[in-house]
Amino acid sequence: MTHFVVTANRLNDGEVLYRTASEGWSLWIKDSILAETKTQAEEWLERAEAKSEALKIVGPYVMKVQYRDEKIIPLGQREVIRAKGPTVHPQFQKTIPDGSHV
Amino acid sequence: MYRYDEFDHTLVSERVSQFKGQVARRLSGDLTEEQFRPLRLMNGLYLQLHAYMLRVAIPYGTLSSTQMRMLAHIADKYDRGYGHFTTRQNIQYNWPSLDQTPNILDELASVEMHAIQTSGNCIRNVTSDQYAGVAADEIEDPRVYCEIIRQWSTLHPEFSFLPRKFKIAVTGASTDRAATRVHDIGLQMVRGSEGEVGFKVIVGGGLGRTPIIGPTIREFLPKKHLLSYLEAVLRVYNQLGRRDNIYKARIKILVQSAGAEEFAAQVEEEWAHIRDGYLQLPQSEINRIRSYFAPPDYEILPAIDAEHALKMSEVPEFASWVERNAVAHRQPGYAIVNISLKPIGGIPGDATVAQMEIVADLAARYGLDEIRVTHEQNLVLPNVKQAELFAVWQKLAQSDLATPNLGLVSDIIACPGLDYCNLANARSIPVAQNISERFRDLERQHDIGDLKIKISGCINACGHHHVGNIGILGVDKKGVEFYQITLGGRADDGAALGDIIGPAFSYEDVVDAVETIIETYLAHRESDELFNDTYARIGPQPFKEKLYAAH
Amino acid sequence: MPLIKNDQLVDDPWYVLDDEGAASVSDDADIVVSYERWTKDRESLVSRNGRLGVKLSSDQPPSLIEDDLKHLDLVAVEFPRFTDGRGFSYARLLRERYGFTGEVRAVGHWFRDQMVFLQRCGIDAFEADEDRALVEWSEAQREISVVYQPAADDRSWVSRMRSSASRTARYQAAE
Repeated sequence: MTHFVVTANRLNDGEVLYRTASEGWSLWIKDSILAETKTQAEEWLERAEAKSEALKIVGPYVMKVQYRDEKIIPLGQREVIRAKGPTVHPQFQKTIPDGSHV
Repeated sequence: MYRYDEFDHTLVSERVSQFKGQVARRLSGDLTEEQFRPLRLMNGLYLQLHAYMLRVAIPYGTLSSTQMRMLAHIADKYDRGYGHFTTRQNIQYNWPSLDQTPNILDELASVEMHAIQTSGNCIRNVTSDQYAGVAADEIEDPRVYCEIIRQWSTLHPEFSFLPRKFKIAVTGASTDRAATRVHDIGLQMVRGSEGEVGFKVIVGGGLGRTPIIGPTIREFLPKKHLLSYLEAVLRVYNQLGRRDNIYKARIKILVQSAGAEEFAAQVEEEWAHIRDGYLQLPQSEINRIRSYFAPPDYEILPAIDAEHALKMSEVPEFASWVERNAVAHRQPGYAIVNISLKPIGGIPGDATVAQMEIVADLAARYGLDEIRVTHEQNLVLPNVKQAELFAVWQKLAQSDLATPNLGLVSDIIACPGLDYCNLANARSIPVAQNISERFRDLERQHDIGDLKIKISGCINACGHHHVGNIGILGVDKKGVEFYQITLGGRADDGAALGDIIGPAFSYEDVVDAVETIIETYLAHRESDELFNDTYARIGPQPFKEKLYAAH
Repeated sequence: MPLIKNDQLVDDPWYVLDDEGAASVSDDADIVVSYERWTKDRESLVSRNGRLGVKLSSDQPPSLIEDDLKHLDLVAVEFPRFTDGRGFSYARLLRERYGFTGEVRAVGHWFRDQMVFLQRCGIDAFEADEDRALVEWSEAQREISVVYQPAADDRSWVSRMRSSASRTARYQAAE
C-alpha cells in the first residue's frame, strides 16, 4: 500500500535522511515514520521545518513509498538510488550498522 | 602554461576567504539555504542526490603535473578516491562535505586553480581544443584568447546574473575539436583578407531542450576587438534574453526569435559604442599572455625514431595503441598521446587517485609537464617523444589507462546521470558500461571503426546526446527509466543534430537496440563508410525496421 | 526606507510617489516617479521646484529616458528578483553611455554579495531595510580587491595595472 515519508539531505555532508517516529532523522529508510496520507506527511514536514534542528537539514520534502511485508520500499528509480547509493559503486552502497544493505 | 601573477593569486585567495565566511555563516544558521544556494553555486558547489558535488574549473582543459597531483590529493583526502572528468573539461568531486570545501579551494589555490563560475548564470569555464598548441592544423594557439576571456569574465560585475548560463569555446584549428557550433559563443580563429588572424564568431548554438547549431554572426573579428565584441554580445543578451521561462532563457532562443541577422545588427550597434574603448586589447597584453603559451624547447628529432619503429613491429598491442590513441604532432619526432578514461566496462571520465598520479608522473617525466582534459572525457599528454611512447604505454597499461579505443564504440561520453545527479531522469553510467561490455572485443570495435555514442540522463544534455552518431537520452516514465535514441548527430565541422529513431527503449533493452543499430550499419556499410555517411545514404528506415520489427 | 550611500546608512531624502497621489507633497520636495508617470505628467513634473527622479522597472531600459536625463537627479533601477540582472547593464549604460552623474539607486532585491557588482556598474545608493545592511556592505567592500575588467567605477583593472607596471619598470630600467 502507498504511504508517505519525509526525507531531506543533511546540511554538512548531503547524506540522505528520513524522518523518524521520535521526530529525529535516520540515514535508513527502514526507520522512517509512515504517513497514510500526504496531508499527514506534510504536517510532519512543517513541524520538522519549524524546529531549530531544521538548520541542519536541506531541502526536505514528502516522498511516496510502498509498505509491503514490513518493508518500506521507495517508489521510482530516483528514490531507490537515494535510499541505496549510486548503483555503479557497489562499495558505496549504503549499509545498515548490522552490515546488511539497505 | 599560464602562470598566475600577484593579481591572479590575490583574487583567488580572496575568493576562498570570502567563501569560507559564507560557509561559516551557513553552518551557523546565519544564512538560509535559499540565501546560501546562489553563493555556493558561484563556487561550483551543488547538492546532488547523496552528497555535495564540487566542480573545479580546468581552464581550457590544460593542467600541469603539479595540478594533476593536487587533483589526486583532493580526491584522496576529501573525497572517495576518485574524480570525474566532464564534457566541459572540468573535474567533479562527488563526496566533499560542506565544511571541508573551503579547505579544498585553499589547496586548489595553492596550485593556481579554483571553482569560480563553474556554475550559476554567468560566463562559465572557457573550453578549447584539447590539441591546442600542438595540433598540426592550427592557425594559432587558442588558449591565449581563452585565458584573456577567462580573466575578463572572472567576477564580471555586469554579467554574473545573466538570464542563464553562458558557455564559450575557442578553437584555433581547421578541424573543430571544441564543438564551437554548439556553444553560446563559438570562436574559430581564421585568417582575414590580408592574412591577419582574427575570429569567426558563432552565437546561439547549444544542446539541451532546444538543440541548435549556432549561426555565424560575424565572419571576421580582429583580435584587438575580441573583448569589446564579447561584451556587446553579452550586453544585448543580458538585456533582451528571456527571464520568464528557464527553458527559453539561453541566448540561442533570443538569436532564433530575433533572427541571426537582426541579432547581429543589435550586437554591431552596441559594439559601435564600445569597440574603441577600454576593452581594446593592447598588443602588449596579448604578447604577455602569449609568452606563457610559447612552444616548449623541442629537441630536433628525426621524424621516425628507429627504436620506436622496431617496437611497433615487435609488439602488436603497442602498435594498435599507437595507431588508435596517438596523434600526429606538429613537431617531428613527437606525438600527442590520448589517455583513454574509458576502460572496458569502466565509468566514462572517472580517474582514481592512483591513475591521476600516474598521469602526473608521466607528464612530468615524458610530457614536458603538460596534460589536457578533453570534452570527450579523456586525458591527453600533448608532448611525448616518439622514442618514449613505449615506456609511456607500458606505464599506462599497468594502470588500465591504455585501452586502444579512442573514437571507437566504447569511447562513450556519459553524464553522471541518476546515480548522482539531482536533475537526471535516468542513469547514464551503467548504460555506457553495459554497451562497453557488450562490445568488449577490441577487434570487433576496430572493425566497426569510428563511432561516437553519447549518453545524457536528462534533457539538459550534459552527455551531448544530440550530437552523438548514436545519441541516447534517458527519460523517466512514471519512475521507470527509458532511453530515447537519436541517430546521425555530430559535433565537429559538419555539426548536425541526430534524428529520433522511434519510441524509447527500457533500461534492459537499450544495449540490444544499440547493437541492432550497429549491426544494421555494418550490413549496409559500403567500403569504409562512416556511420553517419551510411545513415545519410540509407536513411532511418532500415534501422527502424530492425529495431521495431519484433515489437 | 533608509539608504546606504557614501558608506553610511542615511534617511532617504526622496519621496517616492505612486502613480496617482501627489497632492500632499510640497513643490520643493524631491520626488521619484515611475517611468509611466514621467511620460504622462512630464510638463508639470519638470516645472516643480524640487528635484526629480524616475524609477525604471526591469523591462524599461535607460534608452527610454536618454533625452530626459538632463531633467533628472536620480534614476532608480529595479531588481524584481536577485536573479534578474538586467539592471546591471542599465546602470552601466546610464553611467558610461549617457554620462549620467546623478544618483543611480538600486531598489528591490539583491543579496550582500551582489553589492560590489552593483557598485561597479555605477549604482551609488541602495535601499536598505536594516542596520545589518551597513555591516554587510562594509564587509563586502573588503572581500575582493582585484578586478579584471573596466566597468563604471574608477577602479583600475588588472591588465591596465600590468601594463602600467611594466611601463614603470621600463622607465626605471632606462634611467
